[in-house]
Amino acid sequence: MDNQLITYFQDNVAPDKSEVRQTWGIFWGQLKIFMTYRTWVVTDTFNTIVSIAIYYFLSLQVQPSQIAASGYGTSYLAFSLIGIAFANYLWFCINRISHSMQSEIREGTFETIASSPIRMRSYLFGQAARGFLVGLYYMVGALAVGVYGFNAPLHFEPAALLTSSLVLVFMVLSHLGLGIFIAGIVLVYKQADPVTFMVSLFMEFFAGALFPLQLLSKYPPLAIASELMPYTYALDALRKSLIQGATLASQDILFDLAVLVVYAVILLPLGLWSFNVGYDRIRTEGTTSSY
Amino acid sequence: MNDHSIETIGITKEYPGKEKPLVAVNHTNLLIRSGELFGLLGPNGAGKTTLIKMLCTLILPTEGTAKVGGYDIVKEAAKVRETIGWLHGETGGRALYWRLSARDNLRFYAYIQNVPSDVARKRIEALLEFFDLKREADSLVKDYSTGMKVRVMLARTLLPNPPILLLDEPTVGLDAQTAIETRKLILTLNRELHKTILLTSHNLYEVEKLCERVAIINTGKIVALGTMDQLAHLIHEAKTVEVRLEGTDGEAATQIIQQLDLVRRVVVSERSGDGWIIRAEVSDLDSAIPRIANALAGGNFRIRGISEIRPHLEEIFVKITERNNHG
Repeated sequence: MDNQLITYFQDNVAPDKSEVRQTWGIFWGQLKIFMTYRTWVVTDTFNTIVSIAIYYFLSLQVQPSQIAASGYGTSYLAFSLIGIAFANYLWFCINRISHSMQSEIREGTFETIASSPIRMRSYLFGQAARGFLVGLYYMVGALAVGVYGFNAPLHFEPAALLTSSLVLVFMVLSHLGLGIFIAGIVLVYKQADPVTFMVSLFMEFFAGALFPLQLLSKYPPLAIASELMPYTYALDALRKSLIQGATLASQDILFDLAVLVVYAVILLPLGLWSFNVGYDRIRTEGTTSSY
Repeated sequence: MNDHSIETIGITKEYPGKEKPLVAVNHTNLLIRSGELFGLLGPNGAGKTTLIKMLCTLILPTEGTAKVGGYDIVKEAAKVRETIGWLHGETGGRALYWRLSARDNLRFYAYIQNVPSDVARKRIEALLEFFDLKREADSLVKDYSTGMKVRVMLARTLLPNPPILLLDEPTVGLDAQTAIETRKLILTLNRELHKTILLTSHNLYEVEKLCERVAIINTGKIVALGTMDQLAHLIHEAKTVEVRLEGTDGEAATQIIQQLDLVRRVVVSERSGDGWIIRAEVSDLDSAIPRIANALAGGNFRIRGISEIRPHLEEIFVKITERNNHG
């Protein structure tokens, strides 16, 4: 060991245990890795544009009066654009945690993380933060293509944007616990794609991503399930702000936000707890590197 | 930190099996002194990796526990993780982020290992330099050779400057020159920076060269533990003395040696170049060397050298594991 090297290892440096720094480290590393998949980013951008085009042509077949009855304006394109763009965004954020977990286990990096002093919640929040940022790129892209490419009538005034941004944050927080729970499933069972697919399908269906929820009123069990979905409230607030221009002064928006806060307060600790149960289980089974 | 950096107390790990549980580590007690360079050997499936992963807090023991740096691996896992640096060389670099560069892998690791940024920057540059990675430091790790990946893993293990290093096959996949440099580094880390090092390797020469004490684990149990001399004694009740003579007439010398009462048997007596070699098992080494020397001097034989023959670790390892496997 040369003298220069040894001098750097003689000091007793106090560790920097900041959880914000740990979370930033995970976010930074994961984002850098993501940016190396250039082809994937280009393909996904293309897919987003194509899907908006599909909803545009679908909107030509839907009568404006059917949408007007739901209270979200008269454009099916605006209605479905918000439903799908935000559902995709949400799912991108949530899915990222379990997908990254799966790839960390497969590539052997999870053991490096697990044997380091990082707190697991910093690791999970860092993974989620990367999902939020990358997901934002696709969501803003989808909305821009819808508005500027296909003339979807959306309100982009500052008050509406501020309201929808706040709803977006609480929408993510209310679902984060679910994403962490699914990551716990990946830890134990090494695979969670069927579960995530089922959850995303249910979420889009019961929250009415593509159709007005009034259609479910004929089927009471489905209507109740719809009311239990936090995404239902997020979507309602987002449509009201971006289609009708509603702001935080609206009672409806405040009610939706309150429901999302309640879901966040309940689901986030539950998600972290279940993840820790899964983590202890793989340490008991000795399967931290199995996939 | 107390006198022992690593202490296992009846540590046991059982995995569920089809008919009966598979015992990977079986009530193992091990004490590794602070600042010691300790070797752990064992055939494949002996329980080495399970034991190390328990010490890294990656696997929970079924029974017993261990203390690493004075912290309990179950109750104080977070503290243990701050104390150790773990290298799993056998993964051949699998445990790195292949889509990050060496520099970014180290930066990432500095974040999760709580190394302050200004310190990390200096250490990363010094480590890249030392491990000869500077030229390729900004290329993605996926394009590196296995040896380069192992060097990045070594750099990553050292980056947080932990007092205890668990080095599982640190030189696997390295070219000869880098392996030699790495062995020197391990010695320096131990001797100059007083790191406690637990080393496992299939390269028995490496363990023999580096480690003060060695434990041999087989079917989950420590079957032998001690210094090289102590382990050699376990397989050889009698010690071996080698005599090198000038001239090619060694048969008469062999007869003289054979007649000495502390010589059990002559195991080798053969010509070697322009001289002769005789090897004899003796019951008391301290008396045997001067008495053989005197006897041969009395017969006017010219002695080139006379010394004890120590068995290599490889021989010790094979004999002990064979003896253990056959009950």
